[in-house]
Amino acid sequence: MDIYRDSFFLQQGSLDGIKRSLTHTFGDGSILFILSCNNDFLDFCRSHLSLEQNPGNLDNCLAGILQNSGIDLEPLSVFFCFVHPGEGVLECISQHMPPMLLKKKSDEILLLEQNYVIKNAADSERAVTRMRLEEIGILLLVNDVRIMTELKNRGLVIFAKCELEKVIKSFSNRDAGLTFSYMVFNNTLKDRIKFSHHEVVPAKLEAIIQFESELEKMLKDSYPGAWEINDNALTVFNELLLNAYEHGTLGVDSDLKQELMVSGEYEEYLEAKEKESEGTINVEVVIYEQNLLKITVKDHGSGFDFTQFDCKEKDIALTLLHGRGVQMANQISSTAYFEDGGSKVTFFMKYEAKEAETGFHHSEEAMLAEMSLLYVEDDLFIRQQFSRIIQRMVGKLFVAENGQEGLDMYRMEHPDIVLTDIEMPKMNGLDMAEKIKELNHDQSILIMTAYNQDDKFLRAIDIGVDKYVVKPVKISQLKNSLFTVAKQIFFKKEAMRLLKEKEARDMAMLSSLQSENRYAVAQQEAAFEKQELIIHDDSGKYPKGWCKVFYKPLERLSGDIYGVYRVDSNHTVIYIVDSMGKGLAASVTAVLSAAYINRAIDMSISHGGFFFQRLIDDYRDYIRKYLLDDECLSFTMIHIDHRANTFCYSSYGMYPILIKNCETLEITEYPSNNAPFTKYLSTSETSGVVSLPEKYGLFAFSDGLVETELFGMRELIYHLKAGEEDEEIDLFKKVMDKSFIADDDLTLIHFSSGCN
Amino acid sequence: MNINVNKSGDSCDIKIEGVIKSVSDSQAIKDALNSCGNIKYVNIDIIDSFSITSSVIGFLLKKKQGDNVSLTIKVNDARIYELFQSLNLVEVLNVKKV
Repeated sequence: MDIYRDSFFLQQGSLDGIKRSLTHTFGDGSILFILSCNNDFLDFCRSHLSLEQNPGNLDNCLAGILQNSGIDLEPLSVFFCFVHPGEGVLECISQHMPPMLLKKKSDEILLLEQNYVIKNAADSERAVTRMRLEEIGILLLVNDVRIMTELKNRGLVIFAKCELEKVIKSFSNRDAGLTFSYMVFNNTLKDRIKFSHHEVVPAKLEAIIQFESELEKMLKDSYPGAWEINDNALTVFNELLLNAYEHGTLGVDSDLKQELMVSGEYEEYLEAKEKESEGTINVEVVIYEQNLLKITVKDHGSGFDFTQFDCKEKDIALTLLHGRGVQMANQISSTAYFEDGGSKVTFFMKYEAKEAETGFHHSEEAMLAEMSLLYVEDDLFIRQQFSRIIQRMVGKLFVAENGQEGLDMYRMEHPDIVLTDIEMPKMNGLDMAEKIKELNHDQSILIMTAYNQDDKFLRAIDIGVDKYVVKPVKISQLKNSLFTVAKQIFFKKEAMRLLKEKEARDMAMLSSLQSENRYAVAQQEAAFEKQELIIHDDSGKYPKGWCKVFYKPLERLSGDIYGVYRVDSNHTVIYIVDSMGKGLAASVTAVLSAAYINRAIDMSISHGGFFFQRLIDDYRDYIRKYLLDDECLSFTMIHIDHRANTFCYSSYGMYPILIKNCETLEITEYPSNNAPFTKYLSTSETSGVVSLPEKYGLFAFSDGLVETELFGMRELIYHLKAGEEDEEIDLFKKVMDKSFIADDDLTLIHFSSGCN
Repeated sequence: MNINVNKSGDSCDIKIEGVIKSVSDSQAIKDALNSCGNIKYVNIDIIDSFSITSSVIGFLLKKKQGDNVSLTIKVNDARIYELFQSLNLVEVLNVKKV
């Protein structure tokens, strides 16, 4: 493993991942490092090293190891390095190895040649290279002389493993058969501090929690992408800080803690002890340029019986309640070690440069931060540990001790996510999950389960559990699973929200359209009422059955308008105006027309002289001004002289006027004598005076009546001819029949001289 | 309804297939005619429509009477020809029965 200390670190590795080295820390903090391709030799060395040995120097160390080794040492390629921080000395010796590369603190770069043949344990010819630590910047050994030369040429700018591995890899690419192993001793930590923070935290739980939050922010700011390492660092820190709080400042040892935990008085006890305590905890956070984080926690208690550099508690087996923080520090951090009898602990976390990219996780973090989570776990310590971690990830956390409590809490709180253990008293996690799924089939549930629980897996699948987190739970794995579920929930919620928004918009639009439509309909109805008001219809002034009008606008605003005007007892004027198109524009022309014609007739009556031709001419002059460029107008005007039993007419683009002789049933057509009227039309034709049969029926109509494929002029005449006494009524009925009605306004006027 | 437009010099030939029955049909015919730009002669071939909208009639009258464009309309269906006759448009719009 790599070793980190206050001022230096020692890293080792190989490009192919095969371990060809070992490190050993002695009880006094001195370190031995061996690099060799001979695994038997490394195993032998490992078995002959113990914590208690404190050889003091490399000579003594080698003598102890090599004695009675039984291994032929002569052909061995090997490198030994012994670091004694207490003495401030580094010693090394190598055999059949390339020269070492040394960069001094003064920036001078040297290749240190050595080629000593190790003969036996007591060989007096061993030529150990001894250097003072304060002189060393970086010391590097790679089992290939070409790499050493390359690095020398580059000025040995090596601060981290990844940088060194890049250089080695470039050689490996060129020469695939070679394997490279290396060791780098970097003594520049103190010189390359990027960030340092020291704080004295009062030994109060509230202050500790506050500092944890500050540290989290600090790490996120420093390494925004390295969320996994940051989490691990925070987890270790949390354990070690709580150790310092509980054991160091409040004096609660592990046995007492276990006793209080079991009796359920632990929290109460801590609260009472905290009030008495005046202790503080010193926390130092350092970030080095080599992408290293070092956190030191020191309390003012009596400490533990720790062997400081091995990070193991003497004579105490690791149990659930004992040494959890130590175990976690060992497992998760890059290095952790105790000093000052266990009252001071330091751990390192190594960041890699690549961990800077993670906007993605940022967004997932933000998603999870908005979620509520129910965490169900019966194990008190696991529950406490993960509650603290999860608390920092989610918006709201609910915690339950067993399935039954979890189910009750679920019913009350309806969390977004449920995270549960399986084996629990009262109700297990799977039973709880099943009941929750019955309540809400879409509920996201994560189960924490062990690898060997295949039967549980199968049941969890049946229940519809969303994800599994395998025990022992790794923070990164849990976080990934929560991110995934949070993302699913977030997008589901987002989709629902968008759907609801769309529905709301659609409803608002529909309501608006309905409102607009109601308004438009109301306006049209009012306009049509006006249109009807303008229509002058004297049909009721004639004997019953003489004059019938059928007026059927396609829309409320009609392009058709008509008038039946009884000028006096001897004269009737009938007109139909069919304005081009449909709807409002046509309606305006129609209304203008009727208003003008009616007024003109009224005026002529009041002035005592009605002249049909003058009415037509005046109307043409008037309406011409209000026609659009391409607007055309069809109209027919008929003047019936009852006393002379004649009529004359002027039609513009209208269907023929039909006159039926009621005695012979003969029908005579009187076609339009003008093209449809436009603002450009200058000609004007009016028929001469036409005699009417003694008993006749006169039909004038707009084009809606005959502009269908099924019902044209021929059909109209056929029906008129076929009709007997009530032929006009039959005709109206036909007209009323939808199949005969065209996509246009429809006006029909039937004037009869007593055919019935 | 389909329209084919072919412009050649001062002349524009428009062939109309299908029934002229809606506002959009009317607009399409107007657009087709307008796409020819300033022209002196328009020949319209109405292949199979039995009817024509008043909107198109108004537009053709405007071309004829307002823009002095020389129009020729060829129709195939007897009913549309009768319609032109009825509306007194055969002569005005120079409608010919094919």
